[in-house]
Amino acid sequence: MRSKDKIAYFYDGDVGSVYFGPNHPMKPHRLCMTHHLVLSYELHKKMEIYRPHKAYPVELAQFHSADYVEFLHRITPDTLPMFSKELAKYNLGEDCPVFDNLFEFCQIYAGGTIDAARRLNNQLCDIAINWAGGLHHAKKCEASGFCYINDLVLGILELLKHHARVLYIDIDVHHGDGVEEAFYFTDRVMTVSFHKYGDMFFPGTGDAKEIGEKEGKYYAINVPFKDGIDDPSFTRLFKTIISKVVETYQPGAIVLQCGADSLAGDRLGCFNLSIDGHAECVKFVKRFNLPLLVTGGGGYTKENVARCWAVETGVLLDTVLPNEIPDNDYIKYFAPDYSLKIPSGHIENLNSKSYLSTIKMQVLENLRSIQHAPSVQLQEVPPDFYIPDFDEDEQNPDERIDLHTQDKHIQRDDEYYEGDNDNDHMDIS
Amino acid sequence: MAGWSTWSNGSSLDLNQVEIFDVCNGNDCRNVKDLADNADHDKVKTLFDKVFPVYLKENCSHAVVRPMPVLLGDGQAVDLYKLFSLVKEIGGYDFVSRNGLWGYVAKELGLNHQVLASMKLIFDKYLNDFEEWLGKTFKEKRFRNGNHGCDWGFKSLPLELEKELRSLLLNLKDNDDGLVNLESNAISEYIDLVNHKEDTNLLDTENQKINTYGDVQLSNVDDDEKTCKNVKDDSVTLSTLIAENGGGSRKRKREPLSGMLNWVRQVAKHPLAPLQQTLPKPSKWKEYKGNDFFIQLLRAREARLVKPGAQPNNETSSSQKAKMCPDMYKDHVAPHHHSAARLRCSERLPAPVKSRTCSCCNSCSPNGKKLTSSVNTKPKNCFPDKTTSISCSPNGKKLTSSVNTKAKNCSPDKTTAIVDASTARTMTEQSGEDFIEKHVSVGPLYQADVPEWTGEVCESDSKWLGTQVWTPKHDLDLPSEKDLVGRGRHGNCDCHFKGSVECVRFHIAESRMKLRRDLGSAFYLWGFNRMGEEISLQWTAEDEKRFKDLMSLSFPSQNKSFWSSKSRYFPDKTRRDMVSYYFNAYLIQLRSYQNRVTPNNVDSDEDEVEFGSFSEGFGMGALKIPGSNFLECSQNKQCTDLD
Repeated sequence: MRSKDKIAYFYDGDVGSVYFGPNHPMKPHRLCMTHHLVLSYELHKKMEIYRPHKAYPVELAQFHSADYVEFLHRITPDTLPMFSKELAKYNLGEDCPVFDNLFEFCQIYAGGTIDAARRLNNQLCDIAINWAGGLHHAKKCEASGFCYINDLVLGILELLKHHARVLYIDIDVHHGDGVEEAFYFTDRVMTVSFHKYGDMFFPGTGDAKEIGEKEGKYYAINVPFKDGIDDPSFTRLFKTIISKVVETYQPGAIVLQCGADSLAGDRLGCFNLSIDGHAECVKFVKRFNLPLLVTGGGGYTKENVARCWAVETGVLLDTVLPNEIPDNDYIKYFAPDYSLKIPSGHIENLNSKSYLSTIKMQVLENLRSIQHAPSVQLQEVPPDFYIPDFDEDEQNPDERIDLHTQDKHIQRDDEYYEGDNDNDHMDIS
Repeated sequence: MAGWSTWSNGSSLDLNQVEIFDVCNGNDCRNVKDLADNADHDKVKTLFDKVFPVYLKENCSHAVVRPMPVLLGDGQAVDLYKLFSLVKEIGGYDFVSRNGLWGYVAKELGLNHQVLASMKLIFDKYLNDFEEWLGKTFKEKRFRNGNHGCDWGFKSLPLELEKELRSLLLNLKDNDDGLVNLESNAISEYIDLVNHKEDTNLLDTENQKINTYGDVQLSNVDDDEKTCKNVKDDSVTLSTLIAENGGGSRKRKREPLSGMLNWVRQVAKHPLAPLQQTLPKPSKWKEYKGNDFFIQLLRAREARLVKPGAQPNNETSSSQKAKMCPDMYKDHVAPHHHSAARLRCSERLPAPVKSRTCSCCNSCSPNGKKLTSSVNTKPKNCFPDKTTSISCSPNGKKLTSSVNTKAKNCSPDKTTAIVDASTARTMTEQSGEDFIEKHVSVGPLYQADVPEWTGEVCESDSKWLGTQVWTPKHDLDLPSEKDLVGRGRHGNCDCHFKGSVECVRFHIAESRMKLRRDLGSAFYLWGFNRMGEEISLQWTAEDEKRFKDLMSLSFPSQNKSFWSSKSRYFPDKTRRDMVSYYFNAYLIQLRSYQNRVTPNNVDSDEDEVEFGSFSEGFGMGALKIPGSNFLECSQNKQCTDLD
């Protein structure tokens, strides 16, 4: 069943030649390498590959403020000196430099995620992959942490057109603050971020105590780790929490940000995850058989990023990649072993068992609050929403309607419906 | 904590000042590796930091603007003192210029080669004049006959101190140990004078007439309410901060503010060790010009506290006040005021310090972020004891330290400890939660507009779904396809010399040809024709050599202008060509060099890496092997045709 998933993979050859500037750790060339590795493993034979459209400013302004988008559009390295005030206002500069083709770059990666969401919405695919996306720090009115446009928020907004609830999962080593912030007040998006927290690690947010506000209270989940977390602890906690989240929240679609800086040996990261551990999370999320949008994110050791995302592309295609990397133009980057394995990390694991279990208890406790207290929004659903012939609809083979009714169904009644999603989606695929 | 016992006995201010230096000379400072300078340098630096602003002020009157902190071309802050002393040490500006030693200076300061010019300029603009000015004031002083009163203004400095400073700066190298100690008394006197001067001449607050720190301490307790106001008025514009500090939140590890943070960390580590220099009381912070770090800290602190767009009268600002005041009073509480201060403190504690108060920093104050991101040390290392462990925020640290600096008249007995503890508690509850933890910003400027779910599906624009570039060919016979997908590297080949450069190159070319056959037009759409070392075939050997030379001359990281003005070097190349060549040819060649020479230490992500040396067989030579020549040539032709 799963192997028949229809996968849409987004790639634009132009991203690889984007250059953030000397000594900047973000190197879009890693996308080139990833794509190249994916193709070297001949994974393209199992999926459709799309070139995303370049998102229009008006699309970007669905989330971002129009003036910010306009400024990004206008600014070039040559005109920098004239705009020092605006640069400060929009937090452009050191971390988020202005480089040639900046806006085009944003258009491409944001377009990729938006297209991916639309393809999912139109049920043209079951899983959409955009490794160029996942820039989760960007804020509504400013750039942050190498991120200019928050494609994830845009993608989720797109998915919200078809789904009552969207689940966002973030396994970047940095907190997914931009996405969390964007949906802090809403229960239509649940954000779950696993990240390093403390020691003033960027971006500084992401304490377990941050759980959302207003309608969004309990719909933001933060799983803060300390340095050096390893595969077993990470994946165990990930699976426990995510399965509970999906069970409780019943999302219509999932967005998964696969930042590769949580891998061991990352230039900016401080975790000890292996590629297998990282990919295990992807595999786990895939198993829910929900419409899944997978994006990249951080990742500052180029060859490890390429390895990781190639393996995860394989995971999504149910293909286990052989360890030896096939000959390709970039083979030399993968020396000395020319294999998919990365050296295990040597960072001391500061996450004690008791610490992890405290975090787990806290998260699960918050999740229980959702079960016990139906959110405001669920009560606000208009009465005409209850369609009497609900049961008939459920039998209807037209999946689109069925999906909606399913959503309505859950809206109306906050109980847990076992297996609903799975059944629906098995039908689709 | 070597110096405690000494300072606890101290009763007079001057004595304390002396001891500050003594302590600093002790193990405390030296143990901290973060501090680049050793303790002696610190002392001189302190002096320098005092004198330099005085000089700047004088110069400003001549309408010459010299912004501080001094930033290099790439936005890095430069430590003027280090620069100054280093150049002096080497033999002066002229000497350094004549002998082309600026590169060495840059290296010593840990700066890029790229900023050579701006560094030299800075020295010329700031420090050459400064040196002259030192000489001038030195001479003037002779005629003035040492009037140490308040009326000597900025035109002159005390003679002995002047002399001493000069000698210190000039003899830095030789007198690492003894000198400062011997003269610390004089230095401290000098510092007192400078502070004093600033107090009296620069400010027109009601504290103008305060002449001794003792008075300051006493009067400050009464000033509490005013301080609040001051704080409110203090709000700095963020843009200034950003302009001065280079702006931007930092996700990276390298941080220009690390100096300040180290300083703060240092202070926090040794809360009871007096500072090298006294910090002014809060009402003077605004005008304070002494310690760069302290100024930075103040700015950062203000940036964190200022809520953009907050109306002065709304609740936010009042809670801001409430949050800040108790901390600040602590600085100046004289022993007999403890109870009063604590009362006030506790009164304010329940004030609405909702976590939200600081939320402004989250997305609007780049400095807050910068701070946050830049500290990479673990708190557990920073806070060895209970007293300090509470104050995690930069502000907290600073405040803790000033508690102890200012409370120098009382011995660290129980009473002080209690005060400390209560301060500590205050700060845990307030700064501990509010300063360090950033919170999610809320408001229309931050959240996305999420429409209510109506149950109706809004049409997702089906027009823009991406252009399909590749479809899996289902019509192929499936079994063999399955076999092909996800295949790894061939274990064997028929090459004569397996694993040789030629062999590897051949297989790369082979797989590339195969891929191109497979993909058809997609091959070009995805830019595979612009991938790999093959890109170098579009470059002439001459261009390649020039590129390499330029790279090794000045690594890209240090040579921003190299990328932007590449047209000067390579008029016929676009920036894209350059980047492409950099990643596809240069880095790969670098990487294969590393693979051969230092297989255990490869890192193609660090821009600083450089070829150790080029062997003859490197690069193009290897490409032109007879066997694969025709392959590459034909490919190359196609590439250019279809590009």
